[in-house]
Amino acid sequence: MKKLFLRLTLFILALGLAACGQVKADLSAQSQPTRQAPTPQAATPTTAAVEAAVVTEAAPVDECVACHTNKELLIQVAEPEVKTESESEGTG
Amino acid sequence: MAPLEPWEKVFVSAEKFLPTVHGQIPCTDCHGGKQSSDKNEAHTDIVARPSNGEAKACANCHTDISGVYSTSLHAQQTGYWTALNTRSVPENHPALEEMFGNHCASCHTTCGDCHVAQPKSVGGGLFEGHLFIAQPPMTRSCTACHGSRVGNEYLGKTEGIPGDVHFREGRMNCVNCHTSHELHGQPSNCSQCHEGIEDTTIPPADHRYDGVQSPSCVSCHPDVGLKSDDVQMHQQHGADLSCQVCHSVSYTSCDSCHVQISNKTGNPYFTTDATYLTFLIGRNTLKSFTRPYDYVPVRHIPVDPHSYDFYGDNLLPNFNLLPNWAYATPHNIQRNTPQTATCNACHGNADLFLTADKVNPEELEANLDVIVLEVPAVISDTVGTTETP
Repeated sequence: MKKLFLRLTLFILALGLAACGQVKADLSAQSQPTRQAPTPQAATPTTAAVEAAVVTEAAPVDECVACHTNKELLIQVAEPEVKTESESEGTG
Repeated sequence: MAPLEPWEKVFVSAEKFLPTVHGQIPCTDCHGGKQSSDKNEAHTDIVARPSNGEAKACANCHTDISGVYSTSLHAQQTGYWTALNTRSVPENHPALEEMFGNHCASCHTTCGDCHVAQPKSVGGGLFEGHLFIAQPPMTRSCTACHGSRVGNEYLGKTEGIPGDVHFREGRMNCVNCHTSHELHGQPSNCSQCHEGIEDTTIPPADHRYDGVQSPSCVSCHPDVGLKSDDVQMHQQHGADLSCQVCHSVSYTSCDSCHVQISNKTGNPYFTTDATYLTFLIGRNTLKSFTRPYDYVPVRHIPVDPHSYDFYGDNLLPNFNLLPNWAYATPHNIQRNTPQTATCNACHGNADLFLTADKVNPEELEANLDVIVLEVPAVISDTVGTTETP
């Protein structure tokens, strides 16, 4: 009887812990920003990251933000300005 | 400030911009374009300046200001047309509209020109990683356009002339005096913004000195307006001289601006015959309840009967209907000036007054209402200096 009671207690405790873990995962999924600039370097995938990717939906990358927040990329792709000499004379 | 690099002009700060209210709006909502990692495809149908034109992007949220702003002087440049219409005749308008489009319309100001990016005249480019700035930065926005006269006077960039006391001593910027109501245009109906009985319809201003005087010096210096201070000249001249008659110093005037299109580049350009410093007191041609002054400083503005000859002959046949020595509000206010020294610094001093001999003979008729016919007489019993402690 004691063994049965102990097993039942452990089972309930395990259920409770599992439920708490699920709530935490749901909250982290909700707080995922949707308009983040992607980090420039790709992180080495870890087991935890892979697991998180399975649980949470990947946020869509905003291509405008991805480019316009990337200084190095903008320097590469920005077109040089053609400066025209003004023929105006005097104070405008 | 130095012009921004090409990349800087379009750089969006992830740290500064994205957490802001405007940073929560998808880029394409205002700028159009497409979501693509390919630059050309992403920029298809891009709207670089979303507030240009009818300013719909801003009006979606800022309905109160957008409604008023569309009729403002900044948006419409109505002051130019008030002068052009007066000096010309309707049959000349098509040529003048072409001229205006080529030479003047670039000064048209959108919401973004003040709150989001620098004007083209200083090379353009986003402020602070695309931050939307409620109070436009003075030197990157206001004086970038209003620089050659107002900016240089106020900041003390005219050689030998100190900057305005409000800048030197108070570090005040433009919006400390020029309120958002003024800059966005007087509301056509007060009750658009204010609930209550203020429902009188006010037509939009048709030139910069139209309507009530705003800003007004006495808003911050009420004791001068009420003549309750101990400065004798304020008691004597409280309403017949504008404040600038005594408290401004030499400012810029220009002669004969002519506009044309370059044969070499096809770009519009202008030439002015002369730019020089003057301080001259003339008669007030814009008398009103809030501008009751008999005398005001006058600035020579560079329009002449032939300014637009490139676009047609005699486009300003009624040139003489408006003066080109114009009511001026120089932005180089000083507490003590040569005029404040003694009564006879001005009285009997013809050098300070716009008399007929100082006016180009071809412009005499246009300026008859401004020219001072008789210089105020010398005061024999000089009361001495009026300098306050």
